[in-house]
Amino acid sequence: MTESLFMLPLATSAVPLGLGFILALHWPLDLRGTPLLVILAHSLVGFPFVMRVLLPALRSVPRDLREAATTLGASPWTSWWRVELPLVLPAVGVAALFAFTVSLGEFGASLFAVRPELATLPVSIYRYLSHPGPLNYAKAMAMGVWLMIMTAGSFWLISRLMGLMRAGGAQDE
Amino acid sequence: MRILLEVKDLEKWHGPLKTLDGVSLCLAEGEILTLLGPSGGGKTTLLRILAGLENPDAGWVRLSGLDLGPLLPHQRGVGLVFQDAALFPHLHVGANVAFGLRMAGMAKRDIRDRVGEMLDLVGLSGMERRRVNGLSGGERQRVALARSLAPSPKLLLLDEPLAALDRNLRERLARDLRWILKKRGLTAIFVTHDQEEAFFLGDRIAVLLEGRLVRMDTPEILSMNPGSLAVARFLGEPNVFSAEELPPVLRAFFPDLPADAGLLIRPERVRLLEDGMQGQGVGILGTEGEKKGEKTSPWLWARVGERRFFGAFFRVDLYFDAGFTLTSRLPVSVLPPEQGRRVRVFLEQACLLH
Repeated sequence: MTESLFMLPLATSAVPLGLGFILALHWPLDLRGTPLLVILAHSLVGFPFVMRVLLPALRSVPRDLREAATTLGASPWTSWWRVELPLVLPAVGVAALFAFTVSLGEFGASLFAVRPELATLPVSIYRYLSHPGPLNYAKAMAMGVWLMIMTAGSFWLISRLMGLMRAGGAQDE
Repeated sequence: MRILLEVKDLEKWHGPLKTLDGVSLCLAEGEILTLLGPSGGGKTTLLRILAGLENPDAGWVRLSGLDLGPLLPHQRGVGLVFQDAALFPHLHVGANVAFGLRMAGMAKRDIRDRVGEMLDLVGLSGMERRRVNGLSGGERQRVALARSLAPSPKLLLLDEPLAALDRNLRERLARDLRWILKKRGLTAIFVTHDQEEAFFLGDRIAVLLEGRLVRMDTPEILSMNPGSLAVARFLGEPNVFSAEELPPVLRAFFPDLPADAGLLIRPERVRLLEDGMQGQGVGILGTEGEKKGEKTSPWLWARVGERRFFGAFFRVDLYFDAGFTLTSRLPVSVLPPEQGRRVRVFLEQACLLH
């Protein structure tokens, strides 16, 4: 139930999401136009992906291991820090990269959230393209190349980390 | 002997199911208890309650006089060895064994010495740097044992640690295990559903059936006299009769048997004399010392059924004319009579079951 709730941001287009942020976050703190709003919006868009990766990884840590740690004298917090976290570390990496990649290419919500002087990459590309002129086209192209390189790079990293996850997250300390 | 562990009237419900029903027991320091019972009998639940991984619905547990109830698992000083070893896959062997010592805040140098000592003890000297994933099943259990022993727990619990291993390895590891526990004077509770293991490992055996502790005694006494029908049946004794099932012919055989008592005839006490060999006195099978008076003792006629060879002995089914079956255990030194032959059966002794 809660899990499907986490997936909700996927169910709607990012445009109303950004619009909703603008509408909702003007009171009691006016966050409109601050970089914080961009971060919030991107977190919400990336959230379902992070959940999708992290939850199964956390569940796949055998209960025995946690229990073994506690009978050896580890408090719940220590057993999380010393046993569970190291085991899900590759998944944490994958989740972070996913969120990064999603945030990199995010357009709909950013369009509403950003200020002109603090634009994200896709928004800048959009703006350059909507102002005709060879120089603007060139700038948009250059940014497009960068966007492609960074996205491809993080997907390559993700696939590497997924391989690590499948290997059981076994690495020596 | 000082009492180390006291368990009183433990009860535990799992949903509508009562997994533990008033379990009480006492354990002396240095004693090894095996908890024997079928799966689902409540053995693992009892162990998990002692370790603090589950809470009882009623009853209490004391360790050296201290009530364990309010203590969390990591505060109890009770070690637990899991069936599948549960080694930490991201740590190598040495770090696995060191885990409990680090939790106790031991100095680095002392940890190294202690880890070496523990690995020596379980027969894995010098394997500190090995990866856990490359270990065999037996080695994994040895590491798990070393890991649990390292922080010197007051009580060690073992949850079927040998169940996943093959037979030869299991026997060797069981022998080593008992030696190690005894050498360190540890008090331990060992859960198993394997009788042989239970009889070999335990100073005492507790039989847990349907959440109740039905019997607790030394292996010798338990094996000689199971005491109740349920225990005798669980132990796999073949010739068990409740008071209602007991055929009149057999009741006549044991005249001083109380009317409401069941009966167990141990298979090695069922002896045969082949038809046509009477009077010789040498034809009695299944006896070591021949006795002269045997010829005059009463007997029953039976037909030999299936013979099964177990390596160290034969088991022979005997069909009686009155319609019941007994199983006899015969030494390999004498060839048992062929299937279908009529034999005279002598019953020496029986134990009462309630």
